[in-house]
Amino acid sequence: MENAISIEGLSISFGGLKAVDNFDMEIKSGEIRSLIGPNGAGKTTIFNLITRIYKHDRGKILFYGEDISTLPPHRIAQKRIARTFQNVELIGELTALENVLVGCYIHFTYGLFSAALRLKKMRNEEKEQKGRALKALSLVGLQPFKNIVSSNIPLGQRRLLEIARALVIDPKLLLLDEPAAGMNALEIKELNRLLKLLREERGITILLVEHQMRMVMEVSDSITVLDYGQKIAEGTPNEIRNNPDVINAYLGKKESNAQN
Amino acid sequence: MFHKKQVKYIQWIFSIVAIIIIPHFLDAYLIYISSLVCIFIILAIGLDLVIGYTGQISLCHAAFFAIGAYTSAILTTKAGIPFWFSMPLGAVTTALIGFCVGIPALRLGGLYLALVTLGFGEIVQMVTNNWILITNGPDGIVIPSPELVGFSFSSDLRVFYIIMPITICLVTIGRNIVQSNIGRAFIAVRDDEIAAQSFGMRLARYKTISFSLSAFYAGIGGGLYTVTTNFICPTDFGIVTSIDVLAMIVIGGLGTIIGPIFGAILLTLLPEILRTIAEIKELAYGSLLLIFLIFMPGGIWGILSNLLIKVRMVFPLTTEKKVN
Repeated sequence: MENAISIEGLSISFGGLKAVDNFDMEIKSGEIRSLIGPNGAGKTTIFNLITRIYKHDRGKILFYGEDISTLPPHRIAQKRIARTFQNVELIGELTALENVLVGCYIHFTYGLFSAALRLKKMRNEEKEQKGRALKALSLVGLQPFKNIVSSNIPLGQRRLLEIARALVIDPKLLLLDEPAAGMNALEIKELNRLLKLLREERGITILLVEHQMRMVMEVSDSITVLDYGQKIAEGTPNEIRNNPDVINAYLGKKESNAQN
Repeated sequence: MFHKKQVKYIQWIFSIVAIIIIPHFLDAYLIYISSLVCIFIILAIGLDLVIGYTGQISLCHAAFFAIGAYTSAILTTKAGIPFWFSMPLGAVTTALIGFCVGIPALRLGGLYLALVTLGFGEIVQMVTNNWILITNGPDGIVIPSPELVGFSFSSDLRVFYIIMPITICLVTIGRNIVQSNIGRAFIAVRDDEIAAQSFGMRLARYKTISFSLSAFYAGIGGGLYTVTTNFICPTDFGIVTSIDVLAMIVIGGLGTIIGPIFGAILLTLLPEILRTIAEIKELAYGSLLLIFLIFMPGGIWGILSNLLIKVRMVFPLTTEKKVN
């Protein structure tokens, strides 16, 4: 199986702090991979490096064999990499449907002139993309919310809305930053089902950052564990569950606990 | 019963007829004020595109207004180019300069951008004051009334019939743009630059488009101003004018098209109404602005749209299904 993404020796530091240090990771196409680790381990930083929001100091990011580590951030969506945000970045005053249309940006080709005069090209494209947006909304189960202003939508649904907005990019790789935060058990179950469906029906590779361990263990094919910007373990959910390094990172070593 | 679409057409016809007929019953002064209101509507919508929609501070709107007015006036009086060509040329020139002013916005934000645009506004006023050879300096420029195949637009009413349709067109174009993919990109850039980039939007593109559009609107406003007042001088385009337009969009409702229209109407009429109490005019104007800002944080349109929603709940619009 081809690698969707392979990261080699990726490093970035912020004023002396090594946020991500010599990080390697390979994700197979169609895999659901979780990236876990304590707060501040560098998980979101890795998302920002893949999407080129941060410029890495060293290393390489290959996406289906193509080096994307020199692209400007606005070119990443064209490569079909989509993401969601830890602190839900929806536009509060726009409706759910309009927010998803914002995500359809790369599919629009008309210019300022067509927009100003509402030319046929503009109206046709708007109609076509509206269809795409509605399909994405119903896929995540948010069709009833389509005309609700997003600031009035509950947090769990807002996270789903962000996923819908990422899906209209037609991503090959989907980066989800804590999608289950603020969701109840039932919603998490639905989310798991959705992620598996995306993988099976659309072949989307998913990289998931999540703190809800039960979800991570259930949905992931494999897990990468990060601590202080370094990879400390990688393997199937079962291997990770019993890995002593991981247990130390999360719970602290027994000796150091005793000293405290 | 009428079909919903027919009702819409009838409304349109009524409003157009009303707009054409009503000015005939107004005196010249009121028509002149109406022209000014239209010009400030154009200015306010232009400024709202850059501040309200794209979230970039611009304190040099009066400078764009000046560039549009002076370019149009100089081309007409010195080069003999008729108003119908000098006004669009002025608007395009202003848009190009707006593009250049947008470039610092790519690196600067917030207060720094405010200072850069403030400085640019000062520079433009200095130039209009001191480049006497071209601008006549503080003496200003007298602009003749435009003519079209022998017909002179010499009265306030005739000028109003130039300005009003252009205003309607620019309001419509503004609405079309903000409801398009470009408008959504403006809003996305305003709300979160990182998210906007991750959807594929290039920040540089939308910041410069937004500044150019804003300047283009101000440039047209400037061209129209020259034929409304038939005279321009540097004091018309000072920082106070920039702040006035800013107040219009804040009081009307930021990030909407209809809000700035209300703001422009209110803040253009208010000083005229307060003229009758000249002694306390400035005090009354300032106090009213404060009252609006304190009690209407979402602007006039914020209050009105809430009211409309409540009215709609009580009297729901008849839908097409019911009509059929």
